[in-house]
Amino acid sequence: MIKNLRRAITGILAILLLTSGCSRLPRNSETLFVMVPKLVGIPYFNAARDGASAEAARLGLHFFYTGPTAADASLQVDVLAGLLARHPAVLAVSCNDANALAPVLRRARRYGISVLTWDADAQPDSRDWFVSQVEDETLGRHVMDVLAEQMRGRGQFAIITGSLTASNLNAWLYWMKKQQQEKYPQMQLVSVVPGNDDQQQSFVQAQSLLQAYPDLRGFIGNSSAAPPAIARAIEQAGLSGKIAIAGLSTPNLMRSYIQDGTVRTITLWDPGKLGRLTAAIGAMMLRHETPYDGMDVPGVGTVGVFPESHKIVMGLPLDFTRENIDQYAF
Amino acid sequence: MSSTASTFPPNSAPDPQTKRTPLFRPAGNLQPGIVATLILFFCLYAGYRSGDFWSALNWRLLVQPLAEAGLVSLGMMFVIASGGIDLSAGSIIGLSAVAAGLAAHHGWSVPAIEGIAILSGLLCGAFNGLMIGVLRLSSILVTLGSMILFSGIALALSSGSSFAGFPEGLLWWNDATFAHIPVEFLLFLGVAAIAAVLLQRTLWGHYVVAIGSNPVTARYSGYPVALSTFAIYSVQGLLCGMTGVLMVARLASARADMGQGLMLMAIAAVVLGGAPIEGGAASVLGTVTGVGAFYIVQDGLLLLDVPPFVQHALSSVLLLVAVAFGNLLRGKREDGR
Repeated sequence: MIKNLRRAITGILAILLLTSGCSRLPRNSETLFVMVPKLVGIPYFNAARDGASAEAARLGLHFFYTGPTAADASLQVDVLAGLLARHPAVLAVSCNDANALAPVLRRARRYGISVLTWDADAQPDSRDWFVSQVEDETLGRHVMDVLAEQMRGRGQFAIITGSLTASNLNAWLYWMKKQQQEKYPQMQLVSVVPGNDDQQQSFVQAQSLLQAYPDLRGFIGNSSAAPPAIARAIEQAGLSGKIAIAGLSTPNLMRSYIQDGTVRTITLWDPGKLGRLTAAIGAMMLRHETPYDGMDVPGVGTVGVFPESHKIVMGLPLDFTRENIDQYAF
Repeated sequence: MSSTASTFPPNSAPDPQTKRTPLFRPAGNLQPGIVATLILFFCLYAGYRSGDFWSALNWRLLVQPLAEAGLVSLGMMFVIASGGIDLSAGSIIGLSAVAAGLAAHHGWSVPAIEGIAILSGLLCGAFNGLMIGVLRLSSILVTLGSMILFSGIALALSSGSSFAGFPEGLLWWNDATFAHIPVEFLLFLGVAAIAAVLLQRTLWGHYVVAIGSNPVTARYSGYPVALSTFAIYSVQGLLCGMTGVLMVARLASARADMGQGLMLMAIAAVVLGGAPIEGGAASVLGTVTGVGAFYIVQDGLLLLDVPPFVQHALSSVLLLVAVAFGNLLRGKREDGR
């Protein structure tokens, strides 16, 4: 039996060596730029990765992209703890939870790593700069405006969000509700439900909302998985065109629904540009430069910089409609 | 833990099952050894390919989440040894974290925060124990229900947001080291030693394994099945509460969904350590090996630039290979029966 065992172990080891090669990995920590998304494997973060890796290559950074396989703060902290051992020069993180990520990011800064947050922020004292796509307030109010315009400012609507604990989603949610209370008193928010960034769950939620509220006239999908699920539920119920949809999602997910008219407008920003900007700021960190307001970033444009809050804002939200959606592929 | 209702004279006949085995020897099961050998080879390989693998920093950062998962796995070990399963472990962690968050929010002192978190874990576990042990309901159904119940309570208490602003004294757990070893990890080793004593040197440990191998026989032998089962789930709840405190300290925040990933990890770690999922046997050394294996492989693969999804797949290959080996060996041993 021992002989069998030994044979098996040798076999497994041989396979391990063959599949991943036996060259030693270079230690390029001086120029290593590590980018961590909320989770890997979704088109939104893939687009950001592609943008960042192109920009990093142009600027001579070693680019490494990894992250948790689910949008979970403690999984993400585990990944980051593993990354600290490699001592990257710059660490850029899209945080699943502003508070939970703060200790590990603070620790990274103590080890002399420049820390950026991008897409979703952590506590301000735990990072050097936050690279933001668009102000929370601008975005939340804008999405509400898009919905209100289609509903002519009256009627019941519901919101399907991602997870109830995502801090950026909750910030947008807050401004959507605020805009509705201030500007559209005749509209009524009947329910906010989580779809957990999952199309199937969001679809089921949308179906049950349609059954529970027969007078429902509008939906907001506050996470990229929600609007396509809502659109599918509405199409299946034969209510295309009768129920307004607004929200945040990607052109790839929404293309068919926008082309067939179920959805008129969907809002987001360009994650590829956001990735580019993050890599560009990372390169500035390496050169010990400070970002300044109104600076021009190649491929991104002029960005706003708020030195007191250490925040860099890429620009205004982007609406995808039947006219422009084919220019974007993410 | 002993009960007066028990008619079984504990110190009489040298029943082969009560015969003393060395404290840290996984009784006749080679699986932890196989896993440990595989991991050793993996470490040599990872250390050769990545210069960062053997750095003190890497191991320091590695053993902290390992300690948390380890505590839950030890609790899960007792549950699985008794033939049960606890699907609510993650939710209990989340609930005790939220309890700690609420306490901190109201300005309680550090021991009070820790106390309330551990107490809420214990209460959750006691609830499971009451349903499963006393009311004799199926563990998978009870904990499936209480998983949703506990995380629902935690979500309601926290209204879905995360708590921050914990006192420095609580965050001490994250940064404190003793002889350069994180205190969190030492705590885990201490609890593992206590668990080993409980499992192999106490009557309760004997009852747990007996219930797992055959609950009917255990009951007819006059073992205090209800009370022992109640204790199993209470211990599991207590350990989840402790995990909650450690996670809160490490993440400096508390959220309802905090322990979600740990439940399946704990079950996998126990099985990887050689315990049969149907119960009736368990080993602390095996469980520690199992949980260590998962974290070491995960960390090593990350340092080797292996893409995240492949990391997942490879970790599960580890589980499957080890379980297949274990079954093969056990099959050979049991052929003569």
